[in-house]
Amino acid sequence: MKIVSRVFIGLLILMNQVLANNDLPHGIINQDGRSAPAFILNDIDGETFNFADSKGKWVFVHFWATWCGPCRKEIPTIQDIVKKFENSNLEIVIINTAESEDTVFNFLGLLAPDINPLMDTDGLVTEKWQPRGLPATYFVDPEGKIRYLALGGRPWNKDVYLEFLNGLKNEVKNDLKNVHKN
Amino acid sequence: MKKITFRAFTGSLCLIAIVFQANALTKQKLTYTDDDIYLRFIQLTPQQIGSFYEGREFKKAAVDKLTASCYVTVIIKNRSKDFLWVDIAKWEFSQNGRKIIQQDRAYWEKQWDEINLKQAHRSTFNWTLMPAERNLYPQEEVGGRIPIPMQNKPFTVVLNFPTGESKQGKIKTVTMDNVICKLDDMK
Repeated sequence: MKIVSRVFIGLLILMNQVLANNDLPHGIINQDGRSAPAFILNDIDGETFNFADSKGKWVFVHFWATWCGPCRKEIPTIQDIVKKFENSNLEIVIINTAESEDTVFNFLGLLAPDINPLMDTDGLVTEKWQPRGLPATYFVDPEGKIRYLALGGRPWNKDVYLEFLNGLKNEVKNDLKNVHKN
Repeated sequence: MKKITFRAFTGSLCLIAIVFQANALTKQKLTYTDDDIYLRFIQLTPQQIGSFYEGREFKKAAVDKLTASCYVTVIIKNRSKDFLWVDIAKWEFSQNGRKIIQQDRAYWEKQWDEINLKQAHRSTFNWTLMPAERNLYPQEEVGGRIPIPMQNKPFTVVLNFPTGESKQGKIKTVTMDNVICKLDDMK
């Protein structure tokens, strides 16, 4: 009887782990929980943003450039989620890599006028984060650890991704240690 | 007179043949697909490369250096169920047995130091290059340029891809023949 219950519990744990991995939408992968590199950047209006101030929230950190094809396709879907998650527990941080204000302003004016990106003017913050390429999106937990990475551009305004983002937004801070222990 | 006419005629034939061959190579779609990988080469002319970086406000000295090189833009998709590794040091460029040396990031840093190119433009340029080494998850794509010295004849690229999470799997090899440095149409 003991053996049967142990096997049953073991199966439950295994199923839970399989489900936890399968729960992630296509193209989102787990990360090792390394600390997110700190940075302070100005946005396109000249307002200063300090990443350290985001502690206590989930942060969507997105790197992009106007010359990258997938970024062009993805940026309108990011504009949609910027509006949806405004003033929520999920902060959306959009960082342009090494381009001039004029270039960025003209590009966003056409495709996503509501986005106010941070300007990584010399590209050094991007290099510190070491993305796999552009575009790149990281998910940083409320304790400042990198938990997920999106591979390439994603259609963020699609239901499956919105569900994922809503899940992060609704996570209670106290539960995080338990949920992401691994 | 007859000899000159004959020589002119055969010369013209050769010229037509060369132009025809060049056009055929230019129009040739350089793609490769199997169950594990999708691979595509895109050739840009010096003018196209120059316009791209000029549009990013690169100074003339930088554009001049950039347009003197040839760029093989490569798009890769991992279609397998395992990790596929991009490791461009394992990609061999050659022309009739002669090795063509890739112009790597260190080469370009030297070029940029010579003209004191600003950091932002170095960063942009680096992001347009193919990553030197990176794993590709199943279904993941990557793209980027590989600069080489300008070539006036077609060349061969042998791409070796390690596989497996720690490169423990078989090496996957794809050979792309008749790759060219596309030139601008001077009409």
